[in-house]
Amino acid sequence: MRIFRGRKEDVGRAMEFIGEHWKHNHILALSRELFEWQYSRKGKYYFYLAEDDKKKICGFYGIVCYNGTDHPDIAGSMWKVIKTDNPILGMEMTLYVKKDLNFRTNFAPGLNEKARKITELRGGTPKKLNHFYRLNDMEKYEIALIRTKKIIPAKKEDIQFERISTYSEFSKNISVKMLKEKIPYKDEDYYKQRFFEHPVYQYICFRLSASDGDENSFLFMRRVRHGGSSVLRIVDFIGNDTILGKIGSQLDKLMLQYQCEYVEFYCLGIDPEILLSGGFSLRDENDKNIIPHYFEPFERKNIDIYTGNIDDARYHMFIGDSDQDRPSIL
Amino acid sequence: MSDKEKRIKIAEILEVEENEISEDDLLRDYDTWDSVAVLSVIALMDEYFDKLPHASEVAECKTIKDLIEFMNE
Repeated sequence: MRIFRGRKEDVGRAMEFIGEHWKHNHILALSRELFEWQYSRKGKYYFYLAEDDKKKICGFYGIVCYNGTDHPDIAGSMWKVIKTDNPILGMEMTLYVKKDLNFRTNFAPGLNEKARKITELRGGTPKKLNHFYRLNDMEKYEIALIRTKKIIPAKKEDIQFERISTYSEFSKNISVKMLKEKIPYKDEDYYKQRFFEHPVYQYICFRLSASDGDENSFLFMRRVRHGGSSVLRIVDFIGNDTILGKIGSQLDKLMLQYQCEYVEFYCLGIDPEILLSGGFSLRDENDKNIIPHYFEPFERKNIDIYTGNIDDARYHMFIGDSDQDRPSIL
Repeated sequence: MSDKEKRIKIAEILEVEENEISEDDLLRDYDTWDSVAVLSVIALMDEYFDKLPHASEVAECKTIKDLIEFMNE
């Protein structure tokens, strides 16, 4: 068995493997454009294959690389091995990636049951992302199921939301130092590709500024539609967390502008008190409302999203990380 | 831990009933003999025998009998 890093000429075989062993008609088995977007960065490919002596692919491990340093932060995504004589092929692939990329951190949202079990067996505890939401004040909800309508009155704060439409506008306002301070460190190239060059989705980027000095924060969102209704999903954030405690009234304006039922925000690493003071509600086990997250296909149910054993409180995770917030249907 | 108790634990890891396994069974014939199962064996040995084998050592076991003998070593 040979484990190696995939190259351009291996993309087709990798896509076939996903279609055959992960899910028939999986979007990454069907769209080469999306596969290349997901698993390449500045001409380098970030997926790994295991092949047997007959060159049959027996394992795939896809990686999202957040920066181009020698010691990058990465996020594992699709990880699949088929039955072979080697029961630990999956583990050997992860060790190979560790050696090959020499990564600093490797955490991703969306751990399945098996990955959660592996985390526990390694002595860790899978972490659940916090799911916050803020409802638009509507009489009828088509997407959400609202049993208890609670909308915390938003404080009127002096916060400006400036729409950033192009990468060059974004780049002018961001500094490497600011990005490097974050864990994980997502560099400008990552943001460019992730949110300004997505082959399918249109992301909305806002620069947030406050008169009291909280400047140059960025919020990335996506409008998600179902039937005649829609919601806004916050997928990433750069900046000082405290500004998120002041954005409630601006989110209300956006929900009116985009005619959305709610804004949802899955995250880890941001003090929940900040978001609660910003007018968000926490969708936890005590919350009777249903705030759907799956739209392709649509499922009216609450979704808990887990990640690995992150023990660094500075680590920030969002739903735009790894291969989450990715189209499932072409 | 008796061999019978070990068989019960191994059956749990392989997600089958204890009476469904035989010591001559090849581990590779079980769909559930994968990374999770190997890590489960390691966790079991850590908890009950105070041993922490390497995953590759566990993976070398071919049959259920090999696994029981490995635990006995």
